[in-house]
Amino acid sequence: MAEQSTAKATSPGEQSAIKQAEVIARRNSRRRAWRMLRRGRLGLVGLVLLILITLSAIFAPFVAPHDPLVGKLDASRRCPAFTTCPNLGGGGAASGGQGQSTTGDFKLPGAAATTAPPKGTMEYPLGTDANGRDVLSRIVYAARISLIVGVAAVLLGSFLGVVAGLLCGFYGGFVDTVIMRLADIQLAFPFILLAIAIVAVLGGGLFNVILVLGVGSWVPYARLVRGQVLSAKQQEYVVAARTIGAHDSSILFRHLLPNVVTPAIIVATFGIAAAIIGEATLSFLGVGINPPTPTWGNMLADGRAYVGSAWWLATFPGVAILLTVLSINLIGDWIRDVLDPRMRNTE
Amino acid sequence: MAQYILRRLLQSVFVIFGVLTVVFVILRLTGDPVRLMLGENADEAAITQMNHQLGLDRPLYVQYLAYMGNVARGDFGNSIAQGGKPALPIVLSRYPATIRLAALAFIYTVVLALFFGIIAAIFRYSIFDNAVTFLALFGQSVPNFWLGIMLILIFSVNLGWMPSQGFDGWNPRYILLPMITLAAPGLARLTRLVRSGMLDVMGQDYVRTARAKGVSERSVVFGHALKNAAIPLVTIIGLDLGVLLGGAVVTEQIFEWPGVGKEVITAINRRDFPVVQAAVFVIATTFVLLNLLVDLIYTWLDPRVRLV
Amino acid sequence: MLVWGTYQLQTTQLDPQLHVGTIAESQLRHIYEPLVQIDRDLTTVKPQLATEWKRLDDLTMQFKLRQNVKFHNGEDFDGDAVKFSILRPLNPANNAAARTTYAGISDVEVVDKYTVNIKTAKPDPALLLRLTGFSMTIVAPKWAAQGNDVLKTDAQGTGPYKLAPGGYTGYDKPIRLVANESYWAGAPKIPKVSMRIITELATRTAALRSGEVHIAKDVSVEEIAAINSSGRALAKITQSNRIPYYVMELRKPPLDNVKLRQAVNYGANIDAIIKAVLYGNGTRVATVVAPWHVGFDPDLKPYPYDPEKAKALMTEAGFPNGFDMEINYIQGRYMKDKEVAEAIAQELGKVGIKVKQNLYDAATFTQKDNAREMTGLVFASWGNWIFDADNMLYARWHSSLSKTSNSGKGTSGTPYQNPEYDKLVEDARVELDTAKRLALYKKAQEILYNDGAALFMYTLSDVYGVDNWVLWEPRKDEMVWAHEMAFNE
Repeated sequence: MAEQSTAKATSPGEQSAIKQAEVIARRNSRRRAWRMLRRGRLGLVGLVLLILITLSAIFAPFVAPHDPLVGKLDASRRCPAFTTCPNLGGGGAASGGQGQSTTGDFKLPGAAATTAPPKGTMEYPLGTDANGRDVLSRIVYAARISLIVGVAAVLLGSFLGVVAGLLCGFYGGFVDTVIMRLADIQLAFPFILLAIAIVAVLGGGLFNVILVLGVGSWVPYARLVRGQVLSAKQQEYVVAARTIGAHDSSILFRHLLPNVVTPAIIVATFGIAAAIIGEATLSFLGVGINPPTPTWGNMLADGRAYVGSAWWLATFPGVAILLTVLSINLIGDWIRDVLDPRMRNTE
Repeated sequence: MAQYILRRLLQSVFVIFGVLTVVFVILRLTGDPVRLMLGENADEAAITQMNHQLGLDRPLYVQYLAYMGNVARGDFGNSIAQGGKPALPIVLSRYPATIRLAALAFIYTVVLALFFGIIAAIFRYSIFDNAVTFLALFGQSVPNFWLGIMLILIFSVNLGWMPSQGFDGWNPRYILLPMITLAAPGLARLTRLVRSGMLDVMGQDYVRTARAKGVSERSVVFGHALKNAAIPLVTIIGLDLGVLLGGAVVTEQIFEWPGVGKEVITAINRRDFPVVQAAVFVIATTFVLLNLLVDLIYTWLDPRVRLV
Repeated sequence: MLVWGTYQLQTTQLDPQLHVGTIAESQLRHIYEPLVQIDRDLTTVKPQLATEWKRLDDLTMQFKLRQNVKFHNGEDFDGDAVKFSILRPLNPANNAAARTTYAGISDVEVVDKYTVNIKTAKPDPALLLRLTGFSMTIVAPKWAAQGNDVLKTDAQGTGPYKLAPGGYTGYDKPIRLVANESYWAGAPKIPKVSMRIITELATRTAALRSGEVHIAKDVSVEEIAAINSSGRALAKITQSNRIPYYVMELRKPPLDNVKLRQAVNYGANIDAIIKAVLYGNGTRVATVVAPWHVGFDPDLKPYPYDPEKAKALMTEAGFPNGFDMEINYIQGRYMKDKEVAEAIAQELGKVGIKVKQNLYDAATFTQKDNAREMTGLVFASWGNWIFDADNMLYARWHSSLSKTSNSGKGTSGTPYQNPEYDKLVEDARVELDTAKRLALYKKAQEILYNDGAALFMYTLSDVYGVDNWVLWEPRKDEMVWAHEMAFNE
């Protein structure tokens, strides 16, 4: 393409510029191949990571060393293996009560004589929480919930959005106006209020959190698909299908839908990451998934007040979210490179 | 043009009407403000009487009609939890703090995203590019509240450079941490979009042509590529600003920033219906108007887009 | 300037007589004073604006008032001010949230400028303690007579601190106070105070550790050692007047069976939960009355942890394999409320009681409570602000509650109905003979205990972070008062 547009150039200066550009282009094409591969390699890393996470979620009962829901109170707040346990609340047996007791005439409840070892052990590789539950086991089981939330919320949101977008783009007019104004209402409405309302009325279950995150995310898909359909509608094959009297539904599903799937998938990969983080935010706001079900989000939210002391409670779920979101993003980039022809052009 | 703006404004009224209706219905499903306000030890007679005073014992449709009638006159009623102060002024008094934070976060986002995105695009796959990409992915992977708490721990508790919370006008020591926290997800996303947008347009014919003509790399980047890359970004930036101005619930909560977001969450927690409704009205109006503005900028940047 | 940060939302207005918030009371008592005040031991009643008192007859107590005291706005403190202030929250039109606590007061007679008689319709043994409580503070009468609106944003009391000019600008802005230089007991040592709300626990602790606040209420037990080793502040712990407990919804299955209610009490392993989850910062109580409350029964011992007994009781009740139950609670309001609920569910699970957890935000919780939708265990927490069993055993457990509360519909959290129990707490309400009264309350507590009316737990400990710059020992009644503090020179 570049050749075509520069072919008319005639002046000597421009000739040499073309030569130069061709050299650069050739060099670029070698580098491009290398980069595609490298890009793909990063995507591959992401894919392997995600598969590992998914497998450990599926086989959680075999991976997790302990029961994620039931802990031992006398193993409360153990620190991770190979780390030195910080002095928490009541302090170790040696230090007695660290907090100053000022109860006057009443017996001070006093610090608990903790029996915890001063160093973490392999019994609880990532430590335990206040109720003596194993953090590693909870993270492994939480992967199930967090992945389900991510995928299901995106499926729901993208389904609603793609259907709405197809309807808008295809029928236009009144349907389009109404749905697009609904989209505006959705966007203009504070998400947190919607979340609290749904959870307040329906309760804080897994399904309801998916509902909140799904319903809250349909608009980008709708807008995207609507735009794609509007431009696809002008294309010859659709016009042709119309003239030979094809059904609305057959045009929609046979001709338009395949066209919009690619960009929707790209948006969806990033949507999964967003939904996992969204679930964490809901937990922070107190309207997440009910205990005792562990999710990375509610573990992170519960542990946030102790990052300066019982640091493992929030750190490891945070790392789990980071790795997952990172791997999904890498895969998303990869998919985009492969699927989106416009992006491929730029390489 | 004028006709287009007029039509959009009419549609906006419809959107805001819809938002207000939804919020009215949703709030009524979620709880009882009077009992919450009078507290855990409250007296039943007092609760009944207060419900009557506030008109909350009337049938729902009567409440709705009265509410919409008052809203049309610009009256959002009086706060239940804040001793009968008018609701709209309560929310508007929070707006300057939110605008302050949002504006700075916005400028910070755009400047940094452009800088990092463009440099990363120019030096594609360099160490710098990889670092930017990784940081951006990191920024997109970290929940907001987590980042805020970590910043407080590092910069307030350990280094003692900045206060952990509070509000002091434009004092940068108070603004910096909430601003970084609030901007992080948007900055991460925008940086990536700027980068890929730049790469996209830099591969287009006209940029290659310009290059081939011997136009300097600098004017290729800033003259040709950037302007065209900016067009699709305007919509996204606009939406981001809308989100920022809607009050940052999480950030304002963590840093005790007295903005609209904090007011909304407090009012929701108290089921202070009039204040929530007024706040939603303000947020929705801001959002809708910004959207209109973005669309106008869009047409100005890209004259090919028709106003429909 | 002293700054203290709290957790809960403070009152939305400055009126000291219409609210029932402990935090609000703690703040407003800087400005307003009652006639008599509870001492730090929570049992001795100390003179405040009254210097002495005596009971004239079964229905009348006479109070001699402190002389030459002026309100911050210059008004004289006298009998008329007392009459105005005590009757103000009793007027139904004022919607005072704690009105029923004081409804027994029938009149206040001004005998002379510095003598008043407070009369009750029936004998009230707890009258003196009642007068230490919420809503019983004295406001400047001429100023307050302008209407309730003036008390919302301004404050004119007799207390050791005055509201600073422009010191109140909104419910979540800091309240700023300045010392009342002409305070009758001498000006307080700390001249300026700023009280602010920091809701996020992590931020509040950070603000203490970075020196932005000097007193932080309810820092988490995990952070105690970190605060102590910061070199800037110390964590101070005190037993608290607050008692959290779980009401049993005994009108609905499964907890309509007394054996199952007892099984829950035997199986919940509260002692281990205190030790592990609270790091020992809680003290078991047998029922819902603390040792320092008038009417406490020292002979009743808390339910021990006895899983075998719990299983045996379930078998007797016809549930040899355990049963299903719900636990309803909120989070972030009181120390480790959520973690304790999770631990209860976990421990009950070990004896075979399958507990479904319903975690609600406070407003939704109230909604479900009013709709009587909850079953099983329902979270409750009570800081008995008159330190007399009446304001617990009658106020929370008398059956009239299930008929009068929530406009006669009752709530999930007030299910208890027992005619025998009712009679005891009604009689104790009007029994002036202390020994007889204690015997009545003893019986009442035994009934609640044997009935397993609640999952009985503990008195909390309050954990405060206190900057080294401040000399202060925390009180057990959750009151954080700057006039009890001094700078550490």
